[in-house]
Amino acid sequence: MKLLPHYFKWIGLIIFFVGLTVNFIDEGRRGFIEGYNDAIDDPSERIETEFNPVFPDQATHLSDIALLIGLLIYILAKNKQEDEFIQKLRYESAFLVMVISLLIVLIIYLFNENFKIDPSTFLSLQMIGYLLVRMFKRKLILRVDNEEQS
Amino acid sequence: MKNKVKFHRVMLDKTQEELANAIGVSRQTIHAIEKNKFVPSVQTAMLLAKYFNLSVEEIFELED
Repeated sequence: MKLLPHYFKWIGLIIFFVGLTVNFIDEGRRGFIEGYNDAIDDPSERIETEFNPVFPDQATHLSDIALLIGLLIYILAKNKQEDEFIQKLRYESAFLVMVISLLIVLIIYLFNENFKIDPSTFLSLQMIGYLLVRMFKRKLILRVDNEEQS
Repeated sequence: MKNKVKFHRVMLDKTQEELANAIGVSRQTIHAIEKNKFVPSVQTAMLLAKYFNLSVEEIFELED
């Protein structure tokens, strides 16, 4: 499998964090304010009655796309040392995450026919899930690593 | 698949890092092979055999 050079990991991370920051400025703030206001019983204690977005809607949408592209570039970039063992971990993790995410969506849909999932949420969860599974699988296989330098 | 990579490596007094560098894989790969967590490709198996100056069958054997 052809992968991007290692330095693309940094490019991916930068794009991801720029997207995340721009996204958080409006969407994060909106979520926090709405959550806070919902939790407050006394209406006079609400922190903001009207939400004024800093960026236009297109910017928030673009930041969402940037976040996903950043994650994808990070995933597709080579590790410092890339070989057949790392490749195997990549394939196994991708397969596992695909099966688990499809099963979760299928099970939720089975019990809730109105279930909808935002594509951006689904894709980012899949990619983050993939990174976590790959990391845990690697740690699990190499967990006795320290005792091994004989 | 069982292997005697660790045995032969220790016999030569080499570290995993040295062996990994010599055959062009990561140390993690050598570790995973030694722990029987990973069966290497034919190419890596042959490189290991060449490094230890043995045949592939002397390093790797099928389990019953």
